[in-house]
Amino acid sequence: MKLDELARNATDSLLAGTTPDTTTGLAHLRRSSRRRSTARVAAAGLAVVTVLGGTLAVTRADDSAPEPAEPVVRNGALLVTTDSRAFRMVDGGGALDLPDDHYAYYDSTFTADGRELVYTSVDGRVVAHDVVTGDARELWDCGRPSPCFWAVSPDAERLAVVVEEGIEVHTVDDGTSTTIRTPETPGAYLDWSPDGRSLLFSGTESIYTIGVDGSDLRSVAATAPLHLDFPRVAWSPDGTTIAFVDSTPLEEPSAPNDVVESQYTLRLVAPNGEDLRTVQDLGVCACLGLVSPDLAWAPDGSGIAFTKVGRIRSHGAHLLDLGTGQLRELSPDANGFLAWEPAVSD
Amino acid sequence: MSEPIQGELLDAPPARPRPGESFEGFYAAEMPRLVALARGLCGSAGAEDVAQEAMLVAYRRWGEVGGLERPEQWVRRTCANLAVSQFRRGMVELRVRTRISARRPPADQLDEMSEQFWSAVRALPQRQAQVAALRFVYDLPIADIARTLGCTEGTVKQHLSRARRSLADALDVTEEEA
Repeated sequence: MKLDELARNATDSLLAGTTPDTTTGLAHLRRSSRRRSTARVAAAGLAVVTVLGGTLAVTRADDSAPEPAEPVVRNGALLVTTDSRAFRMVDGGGALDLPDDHYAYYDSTFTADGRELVYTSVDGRVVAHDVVTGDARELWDCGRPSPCFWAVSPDAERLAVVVEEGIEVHTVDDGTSTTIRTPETPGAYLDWSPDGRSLLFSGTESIYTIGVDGSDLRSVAATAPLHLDFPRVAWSPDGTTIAFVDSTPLEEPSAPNDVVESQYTLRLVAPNGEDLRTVQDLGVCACLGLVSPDLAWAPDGSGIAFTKVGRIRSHGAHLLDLGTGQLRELSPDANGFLAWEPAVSD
Repeated sequence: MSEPIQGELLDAPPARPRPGESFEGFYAAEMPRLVALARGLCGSAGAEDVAQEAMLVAYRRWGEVGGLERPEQWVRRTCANLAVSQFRRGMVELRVRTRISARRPPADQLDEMSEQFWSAVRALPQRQAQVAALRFVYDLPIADIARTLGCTEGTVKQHLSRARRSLADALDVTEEEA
């Protein structure tokens, strides 16, 4: 038999056995495309009603008109890094093929609809990488070789960037900017509230929230004095809790820029500053930047993934279930950044 | 499969939106072969999800994609790249599992020879597999394959030549063109 004859028969067989239901497929596709709408609606000020059994139902604050069933946010792929190498899924599946210009030494995060992984490029641009197509779009150019510190809004339409005088909020589409003045230059990590109305940032001895219009500045919790590191901060998906990495120096630095061993902990607090509590020991090390603990909220709010550190080596990525208090090891060798993809169901 | 004579109709004319054609028309026309392409490149399991994911991106960007001269090339490339990336497929499968509560009915089994053929295609290096699958599923000329994948015609010819040789060896058939 000739190859072309075999190929023709095999192709006919393949086509005959492939009869997708395009009507149903189109309906699914239209519903799935509402994920981006869901993220935008969330940013417009929805009230989160409740967390139900590990899923997060997002509903409208105004219930005057009957609504179709809202999509539910569940946990998608959890990505970890090891030694600054490419992100890979916790449960296998290879590595995410990010562009060569991905700057491995800075945080990356998913957009609220899970479609894009936003990262810093080696030449200081903030880029959104479509994880399906591999396409990339530039959100902002920091204008200098070293990376700027940023956080993308839930609707992916704005980018908050740390500047000397506070936080600049850039609108991606038209490039307009506003500056929010803060009492001190924010640290490296920012986060948006799920409704897109407030920002969370760390200072030298405190973590703060502030409205995007510059109003309602609030010191949420005191932290250990900054010592060449910045506490990672993250707002929970339902907006009710702020998680942050705190550190307590175990010795006095002999010089201002000396790196000393510190005890790292994972702490939670309500946005109004109440109910501050330590939930997890994150280890001891003389860490700096890259190897200090990272954290990522589960998109459904049921838990927090984090990395632990140690004096000699890192201690991998783990998951704390906030409902049961149970701990689970996710990856023994993960020691860098975490990113958790939201998966929005029909 | 020989190169078509200029002006000769292809067996599988490309699905191309006519002026005013909606995404729905494009989807209905393109989807069956897109699923076949995905199935040829990554097997039955998850093939429809991969094709659907490519279409989902096209749908969201239809204002841009629909305005391309050959939007079907765009969606075929997206599908082909998604199909050969184990990581991206894993993310898609995870995402789809949360989106669709009802399980899809299993795809029809291929006959043994056809299954062997497509298994051999999947065993090729990724780019060769993509070129071969586009050639066989769509009966595309070299130039169209090159434009779909965004590479030169020379590169496509090289990949196709190597793919044909490897497939002929693996399947114990003669390579000469029909």
